[in-house]
Amino acid sequence: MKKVLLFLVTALFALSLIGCDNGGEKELTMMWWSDGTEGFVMQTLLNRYEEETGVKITLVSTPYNEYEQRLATMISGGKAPHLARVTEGHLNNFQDQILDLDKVFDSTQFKNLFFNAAGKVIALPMDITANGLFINKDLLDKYDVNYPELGDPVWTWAEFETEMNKLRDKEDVTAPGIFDHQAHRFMPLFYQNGVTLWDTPYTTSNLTSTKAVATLQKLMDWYDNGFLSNQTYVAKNSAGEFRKGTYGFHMSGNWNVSAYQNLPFSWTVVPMPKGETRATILGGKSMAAFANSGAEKEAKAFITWLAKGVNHDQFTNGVPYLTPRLGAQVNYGPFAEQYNVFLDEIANTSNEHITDWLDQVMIPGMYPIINLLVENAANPDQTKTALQLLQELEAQLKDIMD
Amino acid sequence: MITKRFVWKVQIIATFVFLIFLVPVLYTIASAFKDMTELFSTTPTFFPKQWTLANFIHVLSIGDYTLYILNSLFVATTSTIIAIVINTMSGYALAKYKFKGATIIMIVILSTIMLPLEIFMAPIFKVITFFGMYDSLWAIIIPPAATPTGIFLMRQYLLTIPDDIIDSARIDGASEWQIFLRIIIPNAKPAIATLAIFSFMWRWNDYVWPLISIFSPKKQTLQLAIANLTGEYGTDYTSALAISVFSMIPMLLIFVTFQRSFIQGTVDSGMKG
Amino acid sequence: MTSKVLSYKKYKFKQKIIPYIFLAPNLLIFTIFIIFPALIGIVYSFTDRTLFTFGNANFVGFQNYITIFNDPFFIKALWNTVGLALVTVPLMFVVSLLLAVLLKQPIKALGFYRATYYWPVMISAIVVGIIWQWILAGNYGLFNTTLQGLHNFFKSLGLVSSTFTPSPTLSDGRFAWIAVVFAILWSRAGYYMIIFLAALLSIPVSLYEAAEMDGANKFQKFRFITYPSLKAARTMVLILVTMEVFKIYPLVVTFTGGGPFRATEFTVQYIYKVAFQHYQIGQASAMSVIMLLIVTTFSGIIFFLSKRGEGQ
Repeated sequence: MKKVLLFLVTALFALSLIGCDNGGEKELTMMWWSDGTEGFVMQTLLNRYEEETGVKITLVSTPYNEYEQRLATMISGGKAPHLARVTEGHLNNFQDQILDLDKVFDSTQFKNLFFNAAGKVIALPMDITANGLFINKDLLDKYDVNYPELGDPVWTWAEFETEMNKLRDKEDVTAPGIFDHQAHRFMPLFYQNGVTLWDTPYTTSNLTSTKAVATLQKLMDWYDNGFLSNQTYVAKNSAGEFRKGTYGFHMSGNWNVSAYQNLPFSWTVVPMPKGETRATILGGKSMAAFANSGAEKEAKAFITWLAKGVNHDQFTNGVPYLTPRLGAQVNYGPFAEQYNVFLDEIANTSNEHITDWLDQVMIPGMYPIINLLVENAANPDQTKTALQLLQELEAQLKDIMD
Repeated sequence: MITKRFVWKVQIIATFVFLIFLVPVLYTIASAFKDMTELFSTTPTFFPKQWTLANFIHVLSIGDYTLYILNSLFVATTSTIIAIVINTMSGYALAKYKFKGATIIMIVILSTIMLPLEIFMAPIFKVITFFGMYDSLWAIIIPPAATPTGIFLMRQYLLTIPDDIIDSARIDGASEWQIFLRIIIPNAKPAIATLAIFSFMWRWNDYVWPLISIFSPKKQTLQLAIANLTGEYGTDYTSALAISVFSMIPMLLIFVTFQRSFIQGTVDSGMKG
Repeated sequence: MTSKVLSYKKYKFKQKIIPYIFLAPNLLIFTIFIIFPALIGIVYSFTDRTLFTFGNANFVGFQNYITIFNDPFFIKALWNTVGLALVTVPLMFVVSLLLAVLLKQPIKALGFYRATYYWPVMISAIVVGIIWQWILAGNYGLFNTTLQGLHNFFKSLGLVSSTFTPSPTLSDGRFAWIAVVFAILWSRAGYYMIIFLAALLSIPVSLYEAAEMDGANKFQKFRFITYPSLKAARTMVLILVTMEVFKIYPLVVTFTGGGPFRATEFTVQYIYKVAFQHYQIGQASAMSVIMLLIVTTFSGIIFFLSKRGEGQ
């Protein structure tokens, strides 16, 4: 009996060593998620940083749909990470826990910056994102669907629908197309139809205007009549769905360009249809450092290093991504063709629309609310009209701003 | 009057039920051995045409599934040992001692069944972080080891140990602790075995405790890792099926080995009031 | 004589103190990790605490309760859960009782069958969700394939002439909800069956023999001997199943994810979302308190109904 106990205790002790941390040298953690290859690219940078400075930073990858929640519980549980990749939504939600990066890097060299309430920069912009339209070339060519390429006259939404409807009820097609589940992918449609969201930011909005209602109604119709797949809200991973090869188009953004590099079918990016105008909306990811992490100085030091041209460009070129660093040249390599479309979309979006969206983004906690809007639009069982949904949205957004 | 027709009818019903319980599990296990094309083919088969270990190899090479399995093993084993010790002690106290607080304590223990983890996830999370146990495997080893079911299981069984043995040991000058170690534990082996199996099963299958206590990828337990496979790229069936089979293996081994005595033991200490 | 008195005193002393020492570890854990959090939870429900409130939160009275009852998603989750309990508890009761009775009949391979009926209990809820998701997935999963096979079989008999359309299974809200009920029954009936089996085994055979001599048939034997003798087991099963259904979570996570469109979103999942994804600890705690009240009420009703029938 005693021998058995002794054995058990030793075995357990041995096993418990598995769960041991190693103390000693300051080792930093960087929270990360990847849509495609950017994790690997960051890892090469981290390896180089360790060679140059001896400081080891561990990349901790988490699936995106749990990312924010994980960050929140870590912070709340007293185990804030040292560094983290963040979207503007995260910067919004975690404003009070993020270190300000005043004097950590030269912010005049970057665009897409975010500031806290005291006007200090709180993150280093890493890449810019733009929404755009991916198509499954094989599928479209098979069914004689016409589509414009860069340089051709841009199609209207009516033409787009007519063409994509050729894919309906085909055996190897689940639905003509799929949107991502986030409202962010649908928002360009408002701008394309000539609606700016705010007349006077946060007091008068155009969300309940006839044009806005018509745009949302169109989205609801698309889900109702099967033009768009509602798998979007079942799996909440439209990129995964698109990979199956049974959709004609995927409304997403440039981060999927490198993510899609090994798809078993031929795909490309084409210009989004236009309404009254063309429009895309911009977003971006940044690198932030958290307060109370225990290694704040070291975290800031890394950010300084990362902001240097030679290092920053290694990241944006490595994926590749659109760069927020002024004057940087990115070699898009095999993706040049697709990225030219995105650059074209950005060039054809009016400044008014860009700043209008930035106003929208500064509303704290707005993402879950607008996401609810499109989720409701897609839900076949809900009974509110487009106007009612938009009225609700407007009321909720104004509510938070108080 | 048990007619032949009756026996026949009952046998059919029982077999039909048997299939309902068996087929889903069998199909899942069989599917884990199918390669990707056969898995998603539009002319599906039940058993694989081509048995392949590809899914198992794939799942063990991506991610840290061997680590997760070891974590789960460590947690389940350690928690079971702790559970046996503390629940037997409590069961013994409630079975063989007459003291004033006994009824109140029984009520308190019963009431904890009414306050399950799932309903109080947020404050339990706060308490775990308060003790600095956040992201520590001990958070999913120690708290769950105290289970009312375990206490009552031990109590029921220990009630059947004759008082004379205990009393004569006392008269012979044995300390209470010695009585516990030398008399109670050896005589409670069947109940301890049952408790051990239950405890190991509960901890191996735990999801909500690890969900709110662990975030480091390296400390994940198996169930947490399996849950992550759904909802990512839709459900990654090739990995999910294979790893689910892995998850079932320890329980299957235990079940097959101890099945007879285990079900018997539950039946015995189960329901006498 | 003195030593006998001393040992008696010692004996009384031991009887008083030692049990508490034996109970200490369990009581310590229960207090710290169950009772204390429950009390804190109640306190939180009256504050505006979020996941990031690191100091003291502000007292807001019943504001959280008002908010959550105006939250359509909470109401939906609540309805879903209460509905689930009202449907699943009686079904589980009947199914597990019938299984226990079935296993008392003269069946070949009884032990083997009994083991198989019990086996799903040992599978983790996470894996049970994956098993059933896999079976119901898509047009070529086991479910739709079986359906198609049956359809073709009846077609060949000339009973049906339409072409087969696969069932939407988990993309349809109502189907998903019913599938959850089924999965719960499938994975847990074995456990309650054992409880009934144990109780059945303790009914003296002589009672049955006497009844037979009076000419009772099977149904009469069940109604007048078996069923009444199961009183304690019946109450226990009902209360345990109720508790279990109200706590449901991991099964749904891997089975339906709460979808489609929240058709299978139950309260535990929603409480988790509100606490850890929307960061509203105060509101989540209010929901927890409501759930606690509902569960206690249901259990209390079951318990008192069974006590009331004690006169039989």
